[in-house]
Amino acid sequence: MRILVIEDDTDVVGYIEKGLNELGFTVDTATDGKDGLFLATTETYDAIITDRMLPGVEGLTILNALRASDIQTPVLVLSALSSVEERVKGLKAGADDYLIKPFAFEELAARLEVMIARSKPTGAEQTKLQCFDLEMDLLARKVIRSGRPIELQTREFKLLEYLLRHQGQVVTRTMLLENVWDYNFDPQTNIIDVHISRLRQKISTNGSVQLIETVRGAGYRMQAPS
Amino acid sequence: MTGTLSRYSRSSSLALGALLAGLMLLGVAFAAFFIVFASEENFLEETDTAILAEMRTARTVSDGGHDALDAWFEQSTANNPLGFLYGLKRSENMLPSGNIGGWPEGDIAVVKEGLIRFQYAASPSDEHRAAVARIMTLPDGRFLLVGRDVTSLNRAQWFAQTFGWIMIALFVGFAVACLIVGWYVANRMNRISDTANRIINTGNLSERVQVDSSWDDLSKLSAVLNRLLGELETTMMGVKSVSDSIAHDLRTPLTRLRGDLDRLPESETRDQLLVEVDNILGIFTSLLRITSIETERRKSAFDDVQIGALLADVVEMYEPLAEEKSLSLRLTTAPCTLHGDRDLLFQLFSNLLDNAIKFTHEGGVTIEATATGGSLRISVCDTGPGISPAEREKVLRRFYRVDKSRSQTGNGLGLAMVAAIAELHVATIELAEGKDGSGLCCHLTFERIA
Repeated sequence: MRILVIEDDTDVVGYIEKGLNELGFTVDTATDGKDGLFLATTETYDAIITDRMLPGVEGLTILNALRASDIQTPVLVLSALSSVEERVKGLKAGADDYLIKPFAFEELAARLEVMIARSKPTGAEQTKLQCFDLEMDLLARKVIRSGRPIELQTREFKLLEYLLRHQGQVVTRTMLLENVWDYNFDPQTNIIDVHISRLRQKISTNGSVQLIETVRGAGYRMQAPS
Repeated sequence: MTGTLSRYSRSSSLALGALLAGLMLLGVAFAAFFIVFASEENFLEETDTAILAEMRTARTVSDGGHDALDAWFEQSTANNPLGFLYGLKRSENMLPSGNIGGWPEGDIAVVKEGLIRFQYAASPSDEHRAAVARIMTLPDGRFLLVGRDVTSLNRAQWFAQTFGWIMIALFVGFAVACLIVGWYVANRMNRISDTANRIINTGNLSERVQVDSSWDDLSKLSAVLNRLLGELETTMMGVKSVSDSIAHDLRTPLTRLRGDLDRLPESETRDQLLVEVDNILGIFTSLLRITSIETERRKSAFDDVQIGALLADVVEMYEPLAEEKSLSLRLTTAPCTLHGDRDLLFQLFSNLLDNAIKFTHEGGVTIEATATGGSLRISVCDTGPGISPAEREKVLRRFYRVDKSRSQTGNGLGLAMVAAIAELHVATIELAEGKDGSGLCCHLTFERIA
């Protein structure tokens, strides 16, 4: 997997590059907008991470130029501009995700993986999701674990659906808040953890395998036992 | 329309203008009375009385015979200290005698019954003068005229009336001028306060009060206000750039520190340090969020929010937490929309609910939304230990924590953020005790525009 990082702060570039290398990505870097745009348009990448405020060409300009020349590489925009308005502006310009600086590397990695997975064509829209012995029927809105039906409330169903759709990937608490609850806010307590533990209880039976794993410092991952 | 009217009727300058105009109208009434008083009839009353008295004398004399009257007439005409006018005519065709150079003819007006006004000239070369007179028929068939010269009286009356009319014109003019000045001042004041209001509501500090002239105190006030706004804008920019540098200079290295810590080999110390760093990062995030809500006052994300659905979402989110502590969580709401920022409102109520659940150990939390008239009141009440009246005001400040809650998790910014979001939505917060005197109730009142 090849990733292009366009960012003028060399500390941040080093931080991202080191982390991504550890995860097995190949990383190209550009420290100004012009170089970034050149690399983005001439090379093929699986994903591009770009800062918004760059010397030379601005981040959103690069994004617009890419989309204008029909390059659909997923782009994650980094920015210190945190207001909702700026965020909406970035997403409207064709960004696939928007992350506010400073960020934990785990948040970036989780979002990057989800973004890359989403950009790969999966064929027809799935109506059934499965993880090990847990099955979800999206049309009938039913969940079955080892043949036993499980009653879930609407939000719990959505939470489980999101985890199932991103099996094997780390999803962060912020990603869950944005996608399952659809609210952009800072919880004062570990409220997401409480919801996850409740969901875990509901989908587990005596002696069953734990499917939702806590990834310390990052979030959660749904995975079938190997 | 009534709104526009009340904006003017509540203006002190216009009220003063109206008061002065009222006084001026009193002046008009006085002048009108003066004019009526200065009528010809009133002016001539004295003169008429004198004429009647002289006529009574003439009648008494005429009772003494033809010659007695002739003698009286001759003597009166010749020696006339009181300035009477006399005329005596024997019959219609005979030439009259007396001191009026003839007999009244031509332009004769009746002032009142029996009293006539006419012009005369004592001799043909003299100027014509005004006079009033009465005429009586003597027992011998002759006509006797007794009158007085009223030229100067007429002039005085003309002056009085003209003076009265000028007074009325001046008073009416002043009254109109007072109202116009009052309206003008009120209008400009309204424009200044409109601009100030717009700035408060939108938070757009780059707007300025219009300065349309430079000669008066209001223009000076506008100019001073504009300078003040300029200063404020600079200060706000300063605050913003300071908070931006905090974001950059402190949050970024902290985040990197957190990443480095995370890569250390697993140990209890590392986990403790991670919790500490997360706390500090949380404080920064909350603090910067409050600052940005307070200084940017962005309303671009404002939309109609279904408050019932939003409260249901908040309750749903916190239900597992309440369940863990065996607390009841009840929501009573009416379908109702509110103009606001959906994410921030969610943050507000989740902070309130979070606090309520955190500090309540038995009983439960209720959320009640009631729409009355143009306002929406949302109350979050718990059965926890409550807050003493003295401390209620303080808990809305940043970092303030009621002593007994120090052991609890949290950074003391939850309620400060509630206060900042409420202010952005022009809502009032009231902290009170619960219905039965225990626990804490937070009442939020939103004015609904929609």
